[in-house]
Amino acid sequence: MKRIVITGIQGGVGATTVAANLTIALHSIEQKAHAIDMNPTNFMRLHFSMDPNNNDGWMLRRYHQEPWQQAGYQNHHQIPFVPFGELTEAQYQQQLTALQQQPMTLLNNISPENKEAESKSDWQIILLPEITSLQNFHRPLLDEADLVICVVRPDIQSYLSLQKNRHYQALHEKHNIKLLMNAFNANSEVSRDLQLVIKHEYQEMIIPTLMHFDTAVPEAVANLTSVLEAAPYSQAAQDYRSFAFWCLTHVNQEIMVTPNV
Amino acid sequence: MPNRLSDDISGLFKAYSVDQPEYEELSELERYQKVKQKWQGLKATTNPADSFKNTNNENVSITGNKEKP
Repeated sequence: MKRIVITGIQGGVGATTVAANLTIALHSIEQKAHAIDMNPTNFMRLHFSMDPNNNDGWMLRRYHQEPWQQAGYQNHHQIPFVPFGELTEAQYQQQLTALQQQPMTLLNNISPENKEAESKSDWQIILLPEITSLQNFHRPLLDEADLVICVVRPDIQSYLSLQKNRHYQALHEKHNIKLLMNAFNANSEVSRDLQLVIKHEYQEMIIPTLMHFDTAVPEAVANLTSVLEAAPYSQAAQDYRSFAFWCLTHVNQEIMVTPNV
Repeated sequence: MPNRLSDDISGLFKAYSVDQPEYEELSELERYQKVKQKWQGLKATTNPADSFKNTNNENVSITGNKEKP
């Protein structure tokens, strides 16, 4: 199984949107993929047509000591995903403490028990909280990822976070992170300029697919669907298909170069 | 008799009301250097690749050129 872990340089950069739409875009190019939401904001489900009043999720199942897989859902196109779930503050803090004490639990839970039987062509897309909110139990997921993507925006906040954020620096020292530029607005001077600066200074890390700002994305989420389903010919849908192709070729290339990893 | 080439170009400029007749094509590096001076938030920052060259002799660059073990 090929595992992609997605985080954001800060909150609000669009990491949830990227993770959900990448999963759906991989399906559109005949790949089997599933998504797991590990961000407590629990918004990935909105891209998968889940009722916002449904509080179910793997964290809630864990709290009730039930198998986390029972929180698995499918959207209208049979694309599987696992929401985080809605917990009370007390429930959440209890689970957080338990996970911090056993940091390998998450990785062990979501890894196939029978490695021989697992399909090497399957994709697992994991959404983590933004970099500043990562916990010790997220580290094993990052260690075992085939690809770690950090979503940034072409704005001064993302740029300064890349330069100065100690959480990002610590992550960068341990992992070969790729940066995905999201919500690029060609009509905005500052967006064009910051895209140029980030691309110039972080060229080795930048994913060549540029994700354009497109109002079709928030419109699709407001209708509880993904942009690939709601507006398949939009700029955003085309960007996500290109991004999925890039992931396919990049991860396969890495696996071919290092066959035993 | 047909116009000379230079007349044609002048005619084109007039027709399209070019705002910046002294426009010069910039390379990406020149554009980058101009942009770094344009915004206050960028002026005080440094290119991490440059600071790497000046201060670090290890085989790991901050722009992601990690050498595989």
